[in-house]
Amino acid sequence: MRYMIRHAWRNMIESWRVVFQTLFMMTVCLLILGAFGFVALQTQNVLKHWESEAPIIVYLKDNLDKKKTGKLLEYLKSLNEVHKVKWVSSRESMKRLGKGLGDKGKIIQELDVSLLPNTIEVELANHSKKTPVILRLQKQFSQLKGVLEVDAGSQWMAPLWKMASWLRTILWGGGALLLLCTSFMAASTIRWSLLLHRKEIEIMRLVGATERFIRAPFYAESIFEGGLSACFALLTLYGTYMILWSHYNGAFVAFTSLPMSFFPVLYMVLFVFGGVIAGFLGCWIALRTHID
Amino acid sequence: MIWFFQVSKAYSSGQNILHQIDLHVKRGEFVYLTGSSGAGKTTFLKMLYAETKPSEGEVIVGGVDIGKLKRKQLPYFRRKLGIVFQDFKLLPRRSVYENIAFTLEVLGRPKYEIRERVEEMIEEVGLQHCAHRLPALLSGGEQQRVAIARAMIHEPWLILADEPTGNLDPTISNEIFGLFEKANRRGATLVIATHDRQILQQRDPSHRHLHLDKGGFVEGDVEMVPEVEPKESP
Repeated sequence: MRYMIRHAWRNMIESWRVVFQTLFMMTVCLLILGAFGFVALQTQNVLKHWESEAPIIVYLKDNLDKKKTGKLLEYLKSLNEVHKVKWVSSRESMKRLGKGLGDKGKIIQELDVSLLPNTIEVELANHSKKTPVILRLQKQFSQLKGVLEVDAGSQWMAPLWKMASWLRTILWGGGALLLLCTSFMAASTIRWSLLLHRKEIEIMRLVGATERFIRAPFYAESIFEGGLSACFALLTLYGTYMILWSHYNGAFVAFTSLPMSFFPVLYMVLFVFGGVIAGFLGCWIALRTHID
Repeated sequence: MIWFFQVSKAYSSGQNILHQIDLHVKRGEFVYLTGSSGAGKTTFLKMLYAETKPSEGEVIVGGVDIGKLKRKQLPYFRRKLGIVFQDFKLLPRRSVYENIAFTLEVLGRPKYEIRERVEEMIEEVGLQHCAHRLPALLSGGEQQRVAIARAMIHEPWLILADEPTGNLDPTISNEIFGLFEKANRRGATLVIATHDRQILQQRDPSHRHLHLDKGGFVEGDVEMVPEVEPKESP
């Protein structure tokens, strides 16, 4: 093990320019991947927050009588996706609006005319608090008789959900591609290292070194480069996140009612592991094509 | 120890290098191998260290059938050998000490043992004054002594040398052969391909001489044709 690490280190010192270039290129690749991941994470968090927070509000038509309202309430309650329903009168809605506006809302509270329609607040069961379900129910409820309009949380939910789906696709597809690019970069360094040490490899074989013994330092070098690049990419991302936080977190909270967040530890470990895997794969490619 | 049974070697170009050779070399023998350029000396040695396999026949080295040797078994087979080349094959970015220690490192010997053995070996080949120098800073004779030390440090039972004194002057050549004889006295079998007529003339009568000619061996003293015809003086 010590021999492997010592030789890997020596290989890197001897070809430090190539190692430096590779580290830079691998870091850029992983940084792009990380940036996509970061945006996807924010989108996912906001969606989850909106999904858990917002009830579906069904606005009722003015001419809907008590009997029909009762039937509608019963129907909504009977649905599997629904946990609780609550009828809110137009007067109650006005009160809430007034309270929400604080001091300025006193005028609204004192108004004798009801400007808002009667509503039904639908609280979904936990298993149904997912954007596709919410959007489906919104469409389904709006087609019911006596329903004026249905509000399902934020108006940004549907576009954000689409964006999250796209980001997921890009993250998987592009991520695989970027990891492959990272692997090829690692492969080119190892190829260079193999050329530089071909005499050493020849002598190693003559004195009876096993293939595993010959290859191990190259794997160590490549894995180290992959891991280090991932760490550099994460550090750069964290720096960028801190800058974004200090300048734009207020605006972000205002829009999403959720603060920005960085990758959790598990994701960071997985990210570094991804870099390690890319390095390993690169070495495997280089050795397969140049040493056999 | 070394057996050749009806061994032939032909390359894909159709060139027939060795033809139905039969040979037996006993343990502890000192064998000189001569022959003109292209006679097959290097091919013969390559078969001994399993770098190439015979086209026909069987080559048995230390009980191992070279033709049937699997790739995975090759490193373990080579650990029993020591190989010396005309171009030394030293690691240019490593010191004399590191070059000699390299074999033991590959064999996974412990650090204290490596240090002890390398120091002994450096003293034996007389390289104490340049133990930490790079090969490029050494003379040809010194470089070859490093290569020999590397080949002998793990006490192999068979030492193969391909023109070990090809690039060296006669005095240095004698010193180099002195080291080979020392290894032979310790029990190692040696097979040395050489063009050095002076060395052959001075050799111990107990040493064996094989001459390769027209794809086969001629045993005993043979008149050697010089590699390059001397120019006539005007």
